[in-house]
Amino acid sequence: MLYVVSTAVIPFELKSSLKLTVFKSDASFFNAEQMTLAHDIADIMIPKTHTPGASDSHAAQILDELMVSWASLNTQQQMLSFLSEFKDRARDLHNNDYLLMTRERRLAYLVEIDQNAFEDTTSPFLIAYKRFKELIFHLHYTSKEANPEFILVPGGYKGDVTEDELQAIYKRQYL
Amino acid sequence: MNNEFDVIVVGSGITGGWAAKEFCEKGFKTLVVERGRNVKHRGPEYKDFEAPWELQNRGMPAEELAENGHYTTLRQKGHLYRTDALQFFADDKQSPYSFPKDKPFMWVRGHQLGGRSLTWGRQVLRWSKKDFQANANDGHGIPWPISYDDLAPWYSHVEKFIGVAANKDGLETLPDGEFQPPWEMSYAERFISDNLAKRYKDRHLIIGRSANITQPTEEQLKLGRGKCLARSYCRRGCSFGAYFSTQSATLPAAQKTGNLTVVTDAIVERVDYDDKTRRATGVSVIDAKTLEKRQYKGRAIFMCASALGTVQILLNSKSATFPNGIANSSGALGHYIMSHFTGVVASGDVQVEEDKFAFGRRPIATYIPNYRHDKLMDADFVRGFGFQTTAQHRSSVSPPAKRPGIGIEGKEKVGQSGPWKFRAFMYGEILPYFDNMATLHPTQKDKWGMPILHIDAEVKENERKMVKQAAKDIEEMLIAGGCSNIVVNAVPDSKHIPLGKQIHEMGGACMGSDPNTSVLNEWNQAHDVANLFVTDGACMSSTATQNPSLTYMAITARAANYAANLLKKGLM
Repeated sequence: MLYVVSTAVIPFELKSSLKLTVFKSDASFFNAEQMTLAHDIADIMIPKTHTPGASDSHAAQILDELMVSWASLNTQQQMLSFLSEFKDRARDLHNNDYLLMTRERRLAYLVEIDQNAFEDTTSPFLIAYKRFKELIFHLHYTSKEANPEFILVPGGYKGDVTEDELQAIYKRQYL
Repeated sequence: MNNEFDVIVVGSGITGGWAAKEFCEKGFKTLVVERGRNVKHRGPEYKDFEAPWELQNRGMPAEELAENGHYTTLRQKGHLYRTDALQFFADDKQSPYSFPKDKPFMWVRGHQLGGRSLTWGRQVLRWSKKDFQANANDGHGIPWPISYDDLAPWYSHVEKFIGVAANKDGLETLPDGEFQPPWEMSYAERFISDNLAKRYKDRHLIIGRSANITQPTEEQLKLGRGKCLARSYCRRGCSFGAYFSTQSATLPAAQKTGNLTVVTDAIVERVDYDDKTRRATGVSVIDAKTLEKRQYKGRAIFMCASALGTVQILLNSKSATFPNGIANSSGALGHYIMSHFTGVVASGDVQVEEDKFAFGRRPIATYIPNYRHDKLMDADFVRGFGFQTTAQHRSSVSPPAKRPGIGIEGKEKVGQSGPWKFRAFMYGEILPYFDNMATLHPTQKDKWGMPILHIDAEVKENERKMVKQAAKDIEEMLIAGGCSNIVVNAVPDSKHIPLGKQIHEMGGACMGSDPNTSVLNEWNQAHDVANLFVTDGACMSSTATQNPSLTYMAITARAANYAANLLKKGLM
């Protein structure tokens, strides 16, 4: 699925500091703003480093598709509520629209939520956050981008190899 | 279609396939009746060439299935509830069964051609002399009417055909057989195995014995079967035919003879019986799609519908002679329901010095065979247990999906190599208890009109004592094996241990010499009905601790050979 991505709605002076991908069109399940949010949260959770991040694996876009093909009505509602409250909380706490906060501030906001989520097991918002996080991680770490060494047909099993031998096997893609 | 056959085989799983092959190859017109749909070998239902990112919904079954109460038992099993294999398991909402509220029983089924042979664990272990003597020795259950020596040639017969990758370990408690080259242990597994050998004479860590071909024979190649390439996607179906299944092996062998007829979507409602001739005449089936009923006639009937499936059909086969189910003059039909059970899970970090790794996905675990056949001084129970174990790969840091951590720091650690982790799962032998039983539900029926099965079975004091001993033993062995950070989890007495979880349900139509206490004789022939045979898990008089499928297959081939001789002589 292709998405039209634009930063046109973001003020020019903020573009460079925001490092934000903005979705202009509605996706299969999420609307454009929700997609932008979901994509950004995923990208902050699993950023691109020397290995691909959630943007590269399209984790948020696949989550959007799964909302239609896999999720129950409860989960759909849970994800929508989460994104809505996520945005509202940012405004309440930081007096700013999440999408207009700098990348550093967005990261700090998310880190705080992440830490609280595993301490407070009663908040519906934090429960929903953990669900969202779990799904994004699952989708990223089962992606082709995150598994460059995956070999569908290994050809055999060796249980006692050195790291050099292992790298040589991965290079030739077969035992 | 002609509806008269020499032999009718009910069920097409591990044993049904074997019965079909043996009879067809001996020249008998054979009908296999399968309740589920047709699944073609290498057909679109096999998912073995899909990478993780290609699986439907990334492996997650649609949530509405759970919300609407589908696949309850399979969801409890956890690891099998995935979109790559879900198609090979029955939905217990569609095919319900019941149990007492305080004794949940896990009945995992495969309602399709090939049955659970498509998804089985492929660990093929012979029983030992002691296993067949256990009932007679300690007085529990019905003494086996056969010995290891009776079955040994049939073990060999089966092993040569299916292909067993195994090491000749020379253990009295786990006899060697006809083996292909074994899978190799990992560096860590070898380390533990060597350490245990230094400490114990009776406890061994061995490589599992796997029905995955490592060196195909001419016969296997002619059937289109190839060498296992260590994908370990067996439960998705194997397009290489590398692991043994009905589809890959017995069915093609039977089909080659021209003597085989297979009907699918045909639910056997009952075995038909003639009170005058005292013979089974055939089977009555319900068309799974149209609900229409029809009958097939046969000179011999082989029940291979899985232990509990067979019991359900036999109990439902009522007549003037057998008002409580066919071949049930003893009253033993439905009794002695058994299953392996686990009550202990343990793990530890293997303290090896060298920085070694493993490559490939080995399709079998390692194994610690039962070493408690004879009651030892420290034991306050009878029988014993073994452990299914593994340290196939180094552990690695998992993504922080379910713990705090986001951003660069958390990500960079993901995938980093950790220690080798050795894991052990107890497999205990439950005693055969008469009051562990399956009956037809008095009122509830499934959507095809069959009374559902009510399963009332539980572990008792002997098994609880085993759990406690197994916890002590495995901790001791992990220390002796060279592990640290040992964690042992034993199920407390207050918590129910669900039977059926290992998908090794057995009993219900036990073999025995005495027609007053058992259902089947030494040839798996019903004491009461000479042309009715039961060769699936229902026939088992005890469970031992080994995975049972190899024994089912050997028993089936042996019984088929016996029945074939009777058919040739016109005695059936």
